[in-house]
Amino acid sequence: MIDPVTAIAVQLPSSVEFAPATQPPATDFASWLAQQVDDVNTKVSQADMQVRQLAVGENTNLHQVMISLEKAHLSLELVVQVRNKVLEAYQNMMQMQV
Amino acid sequence: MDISSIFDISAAGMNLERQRLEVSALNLANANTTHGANGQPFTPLQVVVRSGLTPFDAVLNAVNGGAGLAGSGPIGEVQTADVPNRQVYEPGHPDADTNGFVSYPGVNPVSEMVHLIAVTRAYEANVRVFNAGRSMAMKALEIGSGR
Repeated sequence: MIDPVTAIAVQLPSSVEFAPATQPPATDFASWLAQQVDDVNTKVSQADMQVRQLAVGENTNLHQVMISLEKAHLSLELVVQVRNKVLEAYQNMMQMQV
Repeated sequence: MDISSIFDISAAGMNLERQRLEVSALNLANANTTHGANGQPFTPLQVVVRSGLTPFDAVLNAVNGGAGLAGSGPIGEVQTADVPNRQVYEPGHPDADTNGFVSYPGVNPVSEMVHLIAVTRAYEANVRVFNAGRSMAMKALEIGSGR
């Protein structure tokens, strides 16, 4: 006799439980901005140091210097954009009719 | 910023191409060196590239959804190339053997030139990747400023 083909039981959980999203560290905006500014400062000073080293012939890795400059530029651009948004929001608040 | 991992990978590629160019330059500069520190003619060098991606990195990247590949760029190792010396008949040469033959390094200028072209193009490709990542980041910073 040929046994009928039984359905393959798929073990599905009755309710899908999602892992709780990891909470971002509770830091306020001001400390984040200060940290970013510090970060930009570090990157700019690193790039500045590398350019000096290149100028005096210590660091011969030209593309590393250019990459550091670009990283510094991008970080600065990010902070500038954030500042623009914050100032925009502040202007909106100040123009509110009371 | 996670776009900086692209920069780091491109930097690893550029470092590798710079190293390959250095080795080519050394080979071409020593193409006629018949007498090294060990009394033997110069041995041509080559760069053997291995992937910096370890299995652990692969697992970690699979868990992280493919992000964070920085630090897994190519790693170049300088090794001696196993090529026979070029024998030139110069009886008056100080390094000539008893039969009057001088052993020159087996540097092939033609293949070194082709190598130079390949290295230059590969370096340019890495710079292009870097610029693409940079323009993506700059474009992302333009979000919301079109008013």
